[in-house]
Amino acid sequence: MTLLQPWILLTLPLALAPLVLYWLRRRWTERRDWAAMDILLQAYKTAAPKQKQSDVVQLILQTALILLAVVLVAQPVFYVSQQTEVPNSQTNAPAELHSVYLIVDDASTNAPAYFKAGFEQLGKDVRFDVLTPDAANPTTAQNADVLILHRVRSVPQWLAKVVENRGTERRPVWIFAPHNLDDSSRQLLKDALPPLAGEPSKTAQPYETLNPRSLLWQTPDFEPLAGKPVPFPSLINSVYESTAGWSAAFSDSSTILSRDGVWVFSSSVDGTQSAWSMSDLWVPLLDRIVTISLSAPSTSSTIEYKPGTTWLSRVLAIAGLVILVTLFWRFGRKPSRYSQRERRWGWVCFIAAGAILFIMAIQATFKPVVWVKPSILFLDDDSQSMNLPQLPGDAQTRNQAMVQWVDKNTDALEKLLQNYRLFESSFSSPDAVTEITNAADWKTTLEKRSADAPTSDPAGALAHGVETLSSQIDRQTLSAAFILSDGVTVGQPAPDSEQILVRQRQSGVNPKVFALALGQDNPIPNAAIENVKLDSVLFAGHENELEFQLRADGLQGKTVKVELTEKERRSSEPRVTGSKEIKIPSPQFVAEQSFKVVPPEPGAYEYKLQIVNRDDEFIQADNAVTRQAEAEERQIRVLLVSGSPCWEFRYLRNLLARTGMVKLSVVLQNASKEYVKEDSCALESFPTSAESLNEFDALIFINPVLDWLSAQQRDSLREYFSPELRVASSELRENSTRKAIICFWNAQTDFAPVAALDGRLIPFDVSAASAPSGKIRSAAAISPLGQTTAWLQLSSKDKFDWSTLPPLGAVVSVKQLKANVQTLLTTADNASPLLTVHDVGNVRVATVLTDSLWRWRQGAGEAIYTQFQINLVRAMVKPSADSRVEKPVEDAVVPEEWRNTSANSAALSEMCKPTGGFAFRPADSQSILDAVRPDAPRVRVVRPPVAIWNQFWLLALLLAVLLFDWSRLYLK
Amino acid sequence: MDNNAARLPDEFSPLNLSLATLAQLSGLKLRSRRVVEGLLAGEHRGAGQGLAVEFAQLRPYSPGDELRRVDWKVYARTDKLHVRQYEEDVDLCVYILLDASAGMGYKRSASPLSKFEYAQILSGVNAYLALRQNDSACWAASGKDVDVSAPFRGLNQWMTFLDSLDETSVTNRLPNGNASISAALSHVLTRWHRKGLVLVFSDFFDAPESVESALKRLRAMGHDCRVYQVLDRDELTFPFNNRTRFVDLELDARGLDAEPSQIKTAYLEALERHLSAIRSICSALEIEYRLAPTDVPVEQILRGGGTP
Repeated sequence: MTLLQPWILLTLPLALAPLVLYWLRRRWTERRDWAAMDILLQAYKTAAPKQKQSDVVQLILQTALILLAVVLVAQPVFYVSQQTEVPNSQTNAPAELHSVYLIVDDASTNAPAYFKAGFEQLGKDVRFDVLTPDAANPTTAQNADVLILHRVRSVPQWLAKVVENRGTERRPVWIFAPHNLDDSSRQLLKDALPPLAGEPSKTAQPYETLNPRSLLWQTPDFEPLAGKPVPFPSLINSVYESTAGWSAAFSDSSTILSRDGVWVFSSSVDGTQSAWSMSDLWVPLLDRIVTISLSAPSTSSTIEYKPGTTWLSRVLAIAGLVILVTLFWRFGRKPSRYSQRERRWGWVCFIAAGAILFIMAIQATFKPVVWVKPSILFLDDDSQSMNLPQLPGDAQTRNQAMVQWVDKNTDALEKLLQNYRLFESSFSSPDAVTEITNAADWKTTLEKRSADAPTSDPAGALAHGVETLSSQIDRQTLSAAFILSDGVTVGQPAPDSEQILVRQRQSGVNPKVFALALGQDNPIPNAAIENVKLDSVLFAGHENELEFQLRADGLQGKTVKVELTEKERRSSEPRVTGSKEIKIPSPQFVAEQSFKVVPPEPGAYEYKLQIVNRDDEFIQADNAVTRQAEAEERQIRVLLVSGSPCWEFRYLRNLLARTGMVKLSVVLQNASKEYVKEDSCALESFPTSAESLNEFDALIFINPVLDWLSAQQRDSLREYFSPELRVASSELRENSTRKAIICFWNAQTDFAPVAALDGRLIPFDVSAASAPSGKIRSAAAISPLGQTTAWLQLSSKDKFDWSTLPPLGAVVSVKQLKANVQTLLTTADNASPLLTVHDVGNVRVATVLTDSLWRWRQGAGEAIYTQFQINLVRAMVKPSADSRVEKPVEDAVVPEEWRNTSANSAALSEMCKPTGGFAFRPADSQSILDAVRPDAPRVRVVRPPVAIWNQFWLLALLLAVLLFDWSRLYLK
Repeated sequence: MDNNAARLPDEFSPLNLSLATLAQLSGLKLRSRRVVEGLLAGEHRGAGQGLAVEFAQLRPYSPGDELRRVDWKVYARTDKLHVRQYEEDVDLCVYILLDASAGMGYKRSASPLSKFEYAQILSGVNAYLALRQNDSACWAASGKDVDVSAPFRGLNQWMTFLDSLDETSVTNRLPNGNASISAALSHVLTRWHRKGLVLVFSDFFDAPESVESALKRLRAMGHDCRVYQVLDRDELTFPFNNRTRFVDLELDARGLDAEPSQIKTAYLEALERHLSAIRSICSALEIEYRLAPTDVPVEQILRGGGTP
């Protein structure tokens, strides 16, 4: 047992105060001439020994009194040392796993599938939610059994708060590949995480260094692998590196770190990396994640303090009182050494100290009672659907109708303000709750607020707003929440009344929810062309299908005319190749339609679908859609060879498989069979004969394991780019194809096998002093030569800004290229090439010195990545097609929420009903008064009792009183 | 108040004797309780018989007696010659002994006067009383050496007396201690042969035994004696609180670091014992003893109202 508390060390020296005061007094001596020295010496001999004893007793009593008081406030505590205990699935029976919440930036990747499959293999019947940070629900994330952040780029504030909360509760958060985070998110998470040993500590709580290796490898599943060479050496090595601090964890170095329930997995141990997810380690790792998550907190050594028993505190307080009384008695003895005035002060101080000790002895608590105004929250919808007309054909938007409603009800709001505190927030930032001090100001705020949020989520906004406001007003007296919305949601789940009730029960705040339903449930007249499908590669002289969807709202009984125009890019004259008149039978009509497209000859074409404009339409921008297509004589035949199913391979394979331009074959050298079977275009092995290899127009290598090729396969590859078959580029006819090899290398690739096979495949000299080395993270930049290359113009604008693309990882750093190599792209610092082309025999070789081009999909979207890859393949195979490579045509952008022009008052009603509220229309101006009693009395709030007897300030007061008195007497 | 006193200047510094003080002494007379020896006729009973008005006795005539002293009426009645004898009234010789040792220089911060200065005032007032009644007064100060003044007579010499008294001061601290009042008393008695009234002003922080010895000798020589023990209020109450280094005023290199609050009680008890011893010696030798705290008005001391 120890009496130590983190802060007690600060106060314990105060116990020395009497000694210090005594010592100071001995130091400060007055000089006085004295005549009756003989008498004085005689008196000194008699009295001094007795007085010294008395002083010692006095000092002991005073010191003991301070010590007792300090310990009393600190409370005697029991010290519990928890050794590092790793929950073991075999010994600890974890609680049931109910929910896994996976937050990813791009839900369309394979990561969710691997996670889901892994958890399914664990045999757990779990609810598995995959959401992006924007769509995720804080409450669910907070309460999920397992929370995983996977390759998240941007972490919103609320998610950092969730991480912090879960860390405080010792509930794990698993952060995979934190190097993906942008700088601000990385800092946000670092701040949210509890500090590690050696890092600046936010609290005085001691932490011990944690060895993640012991945490991860203690299970029988991993033990056989520990320290042994396994197929994934980088994984094992990375696990051995550890505990370098969060800064290291968030860098690109390989670490696994855990502290107080937050686990960070760096890139190399990314559980969804190809090698991982295909291996037998993936499922055991997920099992460990589940076990640790459900068994938290018990994963780190901690020092826990538990308050001592009440009786011990009482005994201490009474002992303190006894000492005080003793001191009091000694002080009051006569003859006193103190003057009358000093004694008077002394009485006052003794009485004050006695009162404080009495408070400590009876362990007094304070029950604060306050009277507060009840609160009302207004949540206004600021999504783009609020810019739609309030009524069909009306010039007033829903947003303006909302402002008008506030204006009309200014008096009612002012009445409410007399008895309520009014707060307002918007759907896009429900956490930013501000208090309304007068109705006119609020109206001005609403007028200035632009409705430009892309989507709205009434239920989510309600949850966030209520939670934020509840914390602001201490979870008390939230009488009502008003939602000012049209109820339109896109990409968000419809408001779930049951979920709202559950959330309110969890938060302990149950306001009635009312909704001002804006807009009309009838759709606004509009026709739109959507979901246009046209292969990007067509074949000349053949019929190709152009499919589209016609959506018509509020145009029942009318006819919509759609025209298709075709334009060969080089020719400036578009011509109408198809026209349809479609009669609209119902108010909300959606029909699949199609046109036949027959490109007369090979070339680049633009096809434009256009609804002939109508005067009664509100939205004109969605009436036209343009698609580009390339008419070819035949498909480009591509063989994609990858060493492992890495991200670059997956994205590129999916892309090439989707595009009709390419006839794709795939060889995946190192992967489980189940995975390969997913791919219908897979070959069993790399072609062994030159004839079969020469059928392919292009070979794409992504970190191939060339060592694994047989002698026959190597020979066929050598023949593929045989110098004897060299053909000058000038001899190539337009649209003719030639052989091409495209290589993607990462920084860790060993180039030796390639050099052994044929060094001409790689653009630099492996044996030279300028041998390549790994370089981490770099953005791309275009070289002067690249700027003149047509197929690298990825934007319809004049110049594409390459710096806007996300940075790449694991770039091969090359200082010196071979003489005949052309550099098209470089790293941002221009120190190393990123994309090079050179000719080997009749083969055009393009080398991409990274295998993380897929990162361009993050943030920049899929379009740029797709365009680059398609352009690359086509330009390599058809050099003369440079001028005809795809340039995007940008159609007018229509807000997502405008797809549904009908307001959804029913959804709002559903939200309100279970809480006892209701939805009302702007015309029901009195509803607000009916809904909320304007004369609501203030609410008496009894706050939780606060123990005042063990407060630091009380101790400080006691010490101040005692030390004031003693210093006054000692140092007078 | 007589005219001489009225002429005294207000700025009677450094002795701080004010006209008001002297006015309050108007009813006071300095008297010896014993027979004294005087040279001139005065108010005090002398040892001889002179020509005064107060009849003493008749004695038989002896040859050589003056015939004018023969009481012829007695001769007529008794036929024997008798001579009339009358009591002799002589002047009083007042000896003032001031303790000028370094210890008498103690003065607490709140007090305007040191013990020595207070003793000087007391001496001056007593001299005033003596000179006013045509007695003679002289003083001696006991320092390192003993200064002895010539006798002064007549009120017109009072100022001269005060001036000479003012020239004395306390001695400095000495390495081997100071001359005690006892030694000084023994020394002056060799000069003061004529019986008179000896006034001693001292704090009497000497050993009681030596004080007793000196006073006994004084009494044996037939002097009347009055002792004024001059003490500061600090010495009587020891009112100190802070830790203090007490440095001996008389003996160099002697001091004591002490908590006053710790030794106050013992000090007061020891002081009381010392004062009692001095009082007892005086009482036994029929010497009048007066305690003179420096914060008590002079006239109150002279009227016997000093704090015991």
